[in-house]
Amino acid sequence: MIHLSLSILVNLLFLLFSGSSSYAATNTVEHTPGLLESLEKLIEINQDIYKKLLQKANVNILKYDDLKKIETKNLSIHPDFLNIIIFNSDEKYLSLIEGEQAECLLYSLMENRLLNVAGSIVSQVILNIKKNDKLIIGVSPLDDFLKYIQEKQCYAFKQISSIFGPEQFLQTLKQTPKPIPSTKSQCQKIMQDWKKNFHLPYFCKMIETIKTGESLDQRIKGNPSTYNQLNSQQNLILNEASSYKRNLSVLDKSYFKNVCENIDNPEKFCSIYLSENIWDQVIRGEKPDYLMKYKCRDLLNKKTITPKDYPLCKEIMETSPETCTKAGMLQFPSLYPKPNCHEIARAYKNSHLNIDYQDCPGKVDFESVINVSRKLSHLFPSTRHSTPESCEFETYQAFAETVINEEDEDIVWPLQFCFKNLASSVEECFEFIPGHHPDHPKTEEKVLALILSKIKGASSSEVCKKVSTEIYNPLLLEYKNGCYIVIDSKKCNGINCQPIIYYKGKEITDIKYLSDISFEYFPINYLKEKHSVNNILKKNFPILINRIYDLNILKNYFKENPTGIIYGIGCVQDILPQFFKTKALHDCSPIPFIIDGYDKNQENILLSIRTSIDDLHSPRLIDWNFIFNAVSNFKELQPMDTWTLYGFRKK
Amino acid sequence: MVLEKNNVLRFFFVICFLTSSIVSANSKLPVIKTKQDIANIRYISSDGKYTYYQRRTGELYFSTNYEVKEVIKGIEYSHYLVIGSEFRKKLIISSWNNFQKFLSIREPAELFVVDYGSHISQKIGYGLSPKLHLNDEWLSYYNPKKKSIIFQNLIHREVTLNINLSNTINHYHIPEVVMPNKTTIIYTDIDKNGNQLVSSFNLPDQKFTLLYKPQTHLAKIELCFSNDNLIIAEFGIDTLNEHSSIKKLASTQLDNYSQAVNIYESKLNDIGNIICHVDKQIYFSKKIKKNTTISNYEIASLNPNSKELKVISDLKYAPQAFPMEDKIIIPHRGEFLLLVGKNIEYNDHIFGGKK
Repeated sequence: MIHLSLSILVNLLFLLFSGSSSYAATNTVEHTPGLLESLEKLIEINQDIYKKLLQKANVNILKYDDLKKIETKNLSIHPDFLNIIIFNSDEKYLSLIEGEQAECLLYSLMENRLLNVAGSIVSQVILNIKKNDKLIIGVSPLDDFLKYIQEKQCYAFKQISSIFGPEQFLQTLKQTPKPIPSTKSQCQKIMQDWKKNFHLPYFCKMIETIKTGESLDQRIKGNPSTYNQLNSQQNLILNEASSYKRNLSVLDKSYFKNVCENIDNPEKFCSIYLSENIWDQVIRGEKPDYLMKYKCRDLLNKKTITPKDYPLCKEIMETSPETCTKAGMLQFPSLYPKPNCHEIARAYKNSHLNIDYQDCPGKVDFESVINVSRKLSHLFPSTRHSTPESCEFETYQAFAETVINEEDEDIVWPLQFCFKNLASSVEECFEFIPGHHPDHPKTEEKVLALILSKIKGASSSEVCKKVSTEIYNPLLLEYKNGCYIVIDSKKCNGINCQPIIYYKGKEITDIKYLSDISFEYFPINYLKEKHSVNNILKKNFPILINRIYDLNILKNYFKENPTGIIYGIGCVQDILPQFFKTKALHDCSPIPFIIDGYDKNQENILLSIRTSIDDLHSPRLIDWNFIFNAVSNFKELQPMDTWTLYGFRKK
Repeated sequence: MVLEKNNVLRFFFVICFLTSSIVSANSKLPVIKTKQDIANIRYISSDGKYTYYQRRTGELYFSTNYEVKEVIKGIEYSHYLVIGSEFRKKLIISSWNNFQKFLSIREPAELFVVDYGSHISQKIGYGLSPKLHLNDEWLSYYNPKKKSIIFQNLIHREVTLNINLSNTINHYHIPEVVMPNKTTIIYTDIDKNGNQLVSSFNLPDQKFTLLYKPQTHLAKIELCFSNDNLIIAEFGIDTLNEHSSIKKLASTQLDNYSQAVNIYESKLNDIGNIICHVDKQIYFSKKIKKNTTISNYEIASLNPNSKELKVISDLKYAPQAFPMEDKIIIPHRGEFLLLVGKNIEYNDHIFGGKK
């Protein structure tokens, strides 16, 4: 019988750290070292001991056939080897070694690559063999030793091992219940049960393998020649990691990551599931569901989300917060990376912007219009089923319609297609709104079709389709008929995009495209004040605007106007200095932003902010001092010296 | 009337600073001294001889020895930036005619080049983030619409080169570009998974090599070249995994990142915005954690040889600094503070202040 008890382990560990055993005898230090120095020395000593021990044991290599001849009562793990494992392994995994099966659990941890010796995973076992009342040292390759021990002593583990083999692990995973706690006592019970569950090391192996695999992948990508230098164990890990990554669901990964990382810290495990957070409030209906709906759609990559999906989303956002930084980027482009799920949850706690839709700043590229659209959507909330195709049009729509319907003749919507009316010889111009909409008459596609019906006799039902230069091929039959608006997506974005119009396969050159958009956000000139976006909105909507000079006014504004928001313009280099660098005197790219709350629990005030290039559903927490700096620096460049920070609410 | 307006403004600022949290009240950093309102100035030489300044009517002017010449005509409310280098052979001018009316971060500027100390400008193209390289013989700039970096030889204008980025995920990424020698270009890009990476392009072989890729997509890379070393700085940009590091790679080892030497490391997300300055020091915005909830950001200097780090600003919030010849300047609440270098001592004591 192999002898082992946790108390011995603890004693040995104590000796190791106290330095009063043989380690201290071999390393006398003359000066008093600092803590770090002591630890470094200890690691050095430990490595040295392992090297010497292995050297000694290597004279007696025990393969499976050799081990078979030895009775288990005459075999024991070498105590120094055990010490080395304890010193080098993660405490949380060591804490699993308890109870009647402690010894088998130790071997199970070795099998699952969860224990380490000096600088590497345990791959061989150093043993003491009792022969004629004498102890002989020997070493056995881990696979041989495990085969032997599972046949002779840890029978149950042989079976467990088999259900986690490459062919069976997926089925085992599916059949394993993954209970999610809803109360504290339930949560503690779940953790206790997991600690006693002999399957746990096998699940933790999956999580650790994925982690190690990712780090190896990164190394190889950083330096491809590393791939040829990998040893057989690293190659094995890479293959297994790729299989686990492929086969484990997001929920499986986040659930077992949470369990395995918190084996010795059940409170942390429970806090993830039981803490009162914004997502719980959404699930219970206490906060609007749009706070979760759009995030959830991106995280699960599903077109339609129902409340049934929310618990899973909550689980992912809490256990894998980094997923929020990337999800949805390609469909609805915005500033990358977005904040992580935890930061978004914190910002949402004190935020109240109405956001039951999705916009796409990277497709619009006109930051004033994005900001205006967000402000108007806050005042007059409605649910929009935004898609990657419709988001650009939706962003322009409210402001464009306001300007198009303006009675003041001086204020015109500048995006127009112009043509010469053949009957009257007069140039006519029709306004259009960029982007796609299935039935709005002012879309680019519909307006062009209307003009073509006037100048080329096209059918009134004609629709001009927008395609990119990569797709448009005049040689193909489908492009020989109908109307096509061809844009070079590599060269243009948003409104700065001179399209080429083809009708029945021929380029139409007598339609002019006007895109000279020129709306100052705040007045830049006393004579043309009415042209500014701010004044157009004030004239056309029942809104109240108050200037916000400082932090106290900002705090009071939210106190007195709980549904109000604050908007402004500042230099992006000051608001988001981690993304944009100042390179010269007055290097300032003005960007509009919206503040919809602040974190009251912070000593330095963190505001919940969305700049016009941020994802609508990913507010950032930004220090008030950054915003003050940004507005002050922009003020120097504002022709009327305007302080550009205002409160905004309904009259 | 003017006096009255100034008094109102002054009173407004006093109120503002008293009622908001005052972060720079005790700063010892001097404000940059200029003969005219700094709001108009776009570039000033270290000896004060040459000044490029703009008017709100849209023109960019060059002034020297009481002589003023127009550099670019522009239109009303045009906005200009003027960028030079330590070699002081050329200056690059970025011009946005629609600066006040079309707010778009990705809107390219019209780029011009002038000889240092001259007013005759030549148009180069459209782009962002222009940078002079190799004794001002080369210019690079970024076209955000095409997502390509353009290299323009300023001696032989017909020599140009385009590098298209592979970035498809980050619309707002502006690449960092370094030209350590005539045959090598080092730049940052973003791969299809959203990770930043450092690539090297060899001009004679027309070959791209991956030099370095951080382990996470939640980090940004900055590059500069100092004293025959490529400086590669990595700064975390998310609170989940805070980290910062600065490494140097000798110009003779540019194809071998494993030879990079660590010169700075932190477990916090510094803001970065590194400057390889003419004084051979590296400057960047460093995060300084005061307690669990409060962090400050100050400009620090790092000696790449001794690895000595000094925090040299005292503003609590200094996320940005930029070089102008021998100076390093911090833009702070509408003012420009001198961090490194000397203020110009004008004889006539007419110093610019607020508008």
